[in-house]
Amino acid sequence: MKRYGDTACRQELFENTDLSANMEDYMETIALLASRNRVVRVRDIAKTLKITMPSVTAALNKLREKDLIHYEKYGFIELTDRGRHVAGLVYRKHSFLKRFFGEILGMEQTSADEEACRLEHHLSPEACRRLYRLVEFHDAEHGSEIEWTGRLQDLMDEGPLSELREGQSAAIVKVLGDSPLRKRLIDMGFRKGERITVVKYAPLRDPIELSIKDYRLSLRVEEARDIMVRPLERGRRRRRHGRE
Amino acid sequence: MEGNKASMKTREITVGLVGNPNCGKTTIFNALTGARQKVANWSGVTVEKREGRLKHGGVSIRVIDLPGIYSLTSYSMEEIITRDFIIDDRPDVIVNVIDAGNLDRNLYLTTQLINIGAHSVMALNMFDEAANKGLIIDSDKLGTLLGIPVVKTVGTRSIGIDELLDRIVQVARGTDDTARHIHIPFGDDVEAEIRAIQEKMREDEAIGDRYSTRWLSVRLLERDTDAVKKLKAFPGNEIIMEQVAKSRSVLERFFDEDIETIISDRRYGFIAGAVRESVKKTAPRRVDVSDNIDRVITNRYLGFPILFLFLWALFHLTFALGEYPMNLIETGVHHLGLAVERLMPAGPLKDLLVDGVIGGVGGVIVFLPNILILFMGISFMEDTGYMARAAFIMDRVMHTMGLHGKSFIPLIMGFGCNVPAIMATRSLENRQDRILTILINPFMSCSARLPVYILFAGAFFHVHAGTVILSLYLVGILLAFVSARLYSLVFFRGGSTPFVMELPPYRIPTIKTTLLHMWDRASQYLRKMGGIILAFSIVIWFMGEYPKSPDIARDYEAHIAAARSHNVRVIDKALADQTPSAALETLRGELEAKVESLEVEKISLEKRNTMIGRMGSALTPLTEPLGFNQQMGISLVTGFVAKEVVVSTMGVLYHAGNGAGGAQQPVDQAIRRPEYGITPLSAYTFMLFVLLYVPCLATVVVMGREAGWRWAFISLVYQLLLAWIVCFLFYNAGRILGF
Ligand SMILES: Nc1nc2c(ncn2[C@@H]2O[C@H](COP(=O)(O)OP(=O)(O)OP(=O)(O)O)[C@@H](O)[C@H]2O)c(=O)[nH]1
Ligand SMILES: [Mg+2]
Repeated sequence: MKRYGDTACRQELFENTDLSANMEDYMETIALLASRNRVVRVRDIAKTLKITMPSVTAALNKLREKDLIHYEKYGFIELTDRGRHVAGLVYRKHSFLKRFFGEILGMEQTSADEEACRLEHHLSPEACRRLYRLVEFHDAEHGSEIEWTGRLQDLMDEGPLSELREGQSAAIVKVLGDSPLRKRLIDMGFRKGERITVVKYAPLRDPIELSIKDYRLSLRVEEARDIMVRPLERGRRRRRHGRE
Repeated sequence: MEGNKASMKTREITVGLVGNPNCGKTTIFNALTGARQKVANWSGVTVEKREGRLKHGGVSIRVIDLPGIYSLTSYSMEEIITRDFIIDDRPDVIVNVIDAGNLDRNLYLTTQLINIGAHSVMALNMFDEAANKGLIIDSDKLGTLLGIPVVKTVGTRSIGIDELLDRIVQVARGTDDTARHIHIPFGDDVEAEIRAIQEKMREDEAIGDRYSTRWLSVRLLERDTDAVKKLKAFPGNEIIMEQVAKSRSVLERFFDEDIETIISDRRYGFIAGAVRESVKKTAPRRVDVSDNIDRVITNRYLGFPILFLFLWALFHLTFALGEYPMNLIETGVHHLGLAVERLMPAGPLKDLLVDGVIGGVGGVIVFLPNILILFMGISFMEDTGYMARAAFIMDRVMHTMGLHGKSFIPLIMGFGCNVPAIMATRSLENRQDRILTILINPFMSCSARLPVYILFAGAFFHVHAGTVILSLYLVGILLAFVSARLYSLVFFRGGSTPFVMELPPYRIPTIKTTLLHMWDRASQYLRKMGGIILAFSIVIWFMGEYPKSPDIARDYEAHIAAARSHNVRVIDKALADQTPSAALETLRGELEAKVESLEVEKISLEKRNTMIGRMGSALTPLTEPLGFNQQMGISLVTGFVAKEVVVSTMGVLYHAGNGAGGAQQPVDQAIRRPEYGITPLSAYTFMLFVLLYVPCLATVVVMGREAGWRWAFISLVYQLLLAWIVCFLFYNAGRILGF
């Protein structure tokens, strides 16, 4: 990651590769495997990308036509100089996007990775550059990281109680709305910072059983939407991010 | 409140039991007064004020049990009762019952009680459970911090009750060392605004005389509509309201929070401090099994099957297990009838006793065991905490029907009796949910309908009786849902209300409570026997016997006498002719049958002329299309008083129908006699009608009281129409299909 962490931030660092998203993924994978294993084989690529060997071979042929790789049938795969450059472009984008989602927005490692994979092919060089700046800024302000990214991430994590998974705990941030229900909940101890746990969903997924203070309460999903919470355990995110 | 103290020694002390729902107020009330009010393990059992009296060391004390509340801002009907009682009636002492295992939330109400300056004693109840959780509570410390004497109690075992009484008397007399008035600090900024409002209130002394100005100021700040209403009664309220609005906006701007949050935050802050100083947490002495039980009971896959299995088993047992004691009682009644028959001289009095009283009341009393079993099951659900879980898993279903999960509790209770079930709807916060639940409650087959089902299903469906009965319950539930949708389509179109319900920990029902529940039921049932059912049996008997038709009797007696003497002659002749004995027997049988048929004819003609007979004929146009005979029609009319009367009426009518010298036959055999023309189809239709038509008188009355007479009337008309239409369709469809 640090390999590409040069502070120079020229536009051409993020120029377009003219490759399809698919092909970019191949280039990225080959570069990654090369840095990790020294030699790269079709089998390794197929395994990493979870596709069949014949389709990998077909794609490799295309890349060879574009003079991005050296590839002989049944042999090892190597990047050409041009290939190294292209792979570098793709990989750079990927790694800072991943950092953007992970370190700044506070998403989980794997989902940050997935988001980066998806986004890296579609951003314009300009957008890339600006996002890169932001990540750099974050690095430069390292000492005050907790200050603003911490606050930002708390904000990012906040969500309605109804999005918690079974068994997940959260701190109450706020009870929204202006209903008598809100007043009742406040009377029952729903105050800022109070720990609340989703014990379970009813068999038909509707009311939720909650545990707060020393008692159990049930509430409909619809009503739980008005209760904003911040999940307590990091890494175990809401459904919104990772897939359940 | 201050002025009372001097006269306290002579006067009775009024004590109100105040606390969160399900913290054991009624249990303590019962322990204090020896009463037997209903206790169950879910929130919102008590829905009315209940009074009891006792004497403690020469002081007479009036105790009032109240519905549970979470705070003095109240929404549902029964909570308003409590709040009004605390604020308007101002009891001498408030016993603040606290669930010691759930201290934080329970103390919230305490802070509000402190706010209004109530004289309180705290009952730190469920102390056993708190100890099991590993909580060590320094009650003296807590008391000092709150300025309230604290007594540890275990309501279910009457522990701490005497000390509680001592402290009540002390507080009432103002001699308690711990009791003092403390201020819950709201922080300088809030306090300043409270003072500003109080200042404005001082201008009218009447306010201060009637209410605590500090309390009123806080409530006004919190936008409590009730407090606003109270203030409106005083002239000059505009100036105060202006100050309130000003203070509120100052605070909200300053804290960037709304005022409710600010104030409740301060309260909980105060509580957290008090709890930190007086409670130590150690390792739990016993693991909490509630979660493990719930893993099964509210399990995603098992939850519903278990609920249905439980209900099915309950109804099945009610029938199957109840049969043995039922047979016993039946035999007893039978023998009693025979004994009276033998011992008493013939005459109308004997007929009244045998046919009216024993036939009527005896016919119903046999169902006592079934009803007890049913109530034992419902009591089990209520006392363990399963009821709340059932409401929890059913909410989604109920919601689709336009109902509320909490409606499930009154509906299940309706299987026992619709009257307390309708009362129990008070725990529903929303009027619409409440009325809807009341309206469909009669569709829940109450235990009074059970005798009818058992009688008919037993007589006509034998081994399938249990299934038939279950099917009736299911039809009732189905039509309840259909009707709920119908009612809400026609009358209600409001949004849904929140489903905020506490799930109490599972508790082992005490044998005492279960037995009390059952005994209460049994005694109620027996009282009903001795009262309305007895009276009606007698009335029906009279109506079935009178007016007599002397002409018919005379005519037929002559006919019969003639037939008899003719028979004698024929037999004599046959004897003289040396007829073989076998042929003689047949001949004798034939002749006797002729006499008997004459007798039956006589009785049925006589019956036709009695009041009941005329009533039956008048009803024929309505009952005939449903396949009911006259007795059935009549018993439906009398059954309006109470559904058991349907059975007692049948008992009387069929008993009398057995007529002169006919062997005493139990009703379930009598109704099967071919001359009454009841087929399994018409029997089922009849049960269906009993299920659907008007609920009993008591239910209509309680409906009128709880929902308004308009609704009671609507429900009455609706159910009559529904019953008739459904039964008409069912009966005729059944006939066409060849049943
Ligand atoms: N373990 C234990 N259980 C208790 C104690 N006191 C009451 N209970 C149980 O707690 C449950 C609730 O008791 P109730 O007396 O009905 O409570 P309540 O406060 O009157 O409830 P509402 O009328 O619904 O507000 C019942 O199951 C009681 O058996 C106690 O001291 N210890
Ligand atoms: Mg109670």
